[in-house]
Amino acid sequence: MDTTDKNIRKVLSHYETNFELGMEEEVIRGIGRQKGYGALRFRFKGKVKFGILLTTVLGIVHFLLIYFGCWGNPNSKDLDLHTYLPSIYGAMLIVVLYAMLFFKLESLKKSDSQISKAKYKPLN
Amino acid sequence: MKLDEDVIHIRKVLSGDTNAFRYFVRTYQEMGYSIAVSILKHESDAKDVVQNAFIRAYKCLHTFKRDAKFSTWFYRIVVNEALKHLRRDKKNKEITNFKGDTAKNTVVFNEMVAHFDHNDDKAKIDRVLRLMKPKEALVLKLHYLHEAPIVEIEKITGFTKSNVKVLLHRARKSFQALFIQT
Repeated sequence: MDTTDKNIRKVLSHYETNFELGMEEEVIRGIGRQKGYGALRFRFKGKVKFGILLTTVLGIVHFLLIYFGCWGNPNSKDLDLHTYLPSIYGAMLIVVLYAMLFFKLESLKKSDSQISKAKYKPLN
Repeated sequence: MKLDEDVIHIRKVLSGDTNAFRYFVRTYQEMGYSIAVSILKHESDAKDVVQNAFIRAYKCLHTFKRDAKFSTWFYRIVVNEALKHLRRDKKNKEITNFKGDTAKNTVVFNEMVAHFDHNDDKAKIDRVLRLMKPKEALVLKLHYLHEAPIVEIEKITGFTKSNVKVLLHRARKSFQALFIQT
């Protein structure tokens, strides 16, 4: 170690490192927000997945009914699927869109720190 | 020992005790802030970056490999976040290039340090570090304040060994010159 190196070390040993930041609470609050956001995302992800799955299954059933000629059988008097299927599809689509929209709005609300702070509950 | 305490608290956090993470904030916030401010030169930006780094560290704690020190891993996150912030926001960065003969600077610097008044010159050190280039100030702080060897600086910054050595050499020169000029 040369003199210059020692001198730089000597000068920097007087550098003030006590910044008094106190960011403990803010970090824990931030973690709480992240947890809430994660849980919300997980919940709505599940709803969206269920909606998509149900729509797909109904779509496949619809296709199979047409393919095997079961569609619009004049002898069948049980259910008029022509009437019900499109409305079921529509309902499924609304569920998916609603969940996506609600999730988006909730996440926007969560990102607003003031609202989040008001809703914040201490962890454990 | 700090390393053992780190491991204990990592286990607690991973088992779901969020409050155990307070230990890491208390222990590493100041050095993390010091690193961030040397890159960003702006107090509030540095504070935001360190907070984001802590939240990121919490989220990714399960990916932390215990063969490295927590401090090294965390400071790497701080450096990455700060450099990302710097690329995004290049506002008002007052960086001065040093002038003059570097050999002469060394002689003058060594003489000045002999008469260095610690109390009056604390602000001066802060001013000099702010005027230095971000990467040079970062490497200088890590080497002299954090007492990090070159290998650890490599891990924290992601720079190559030769790059760290070059930056450290330049940092020493510019520190001396700016110390004389300011």
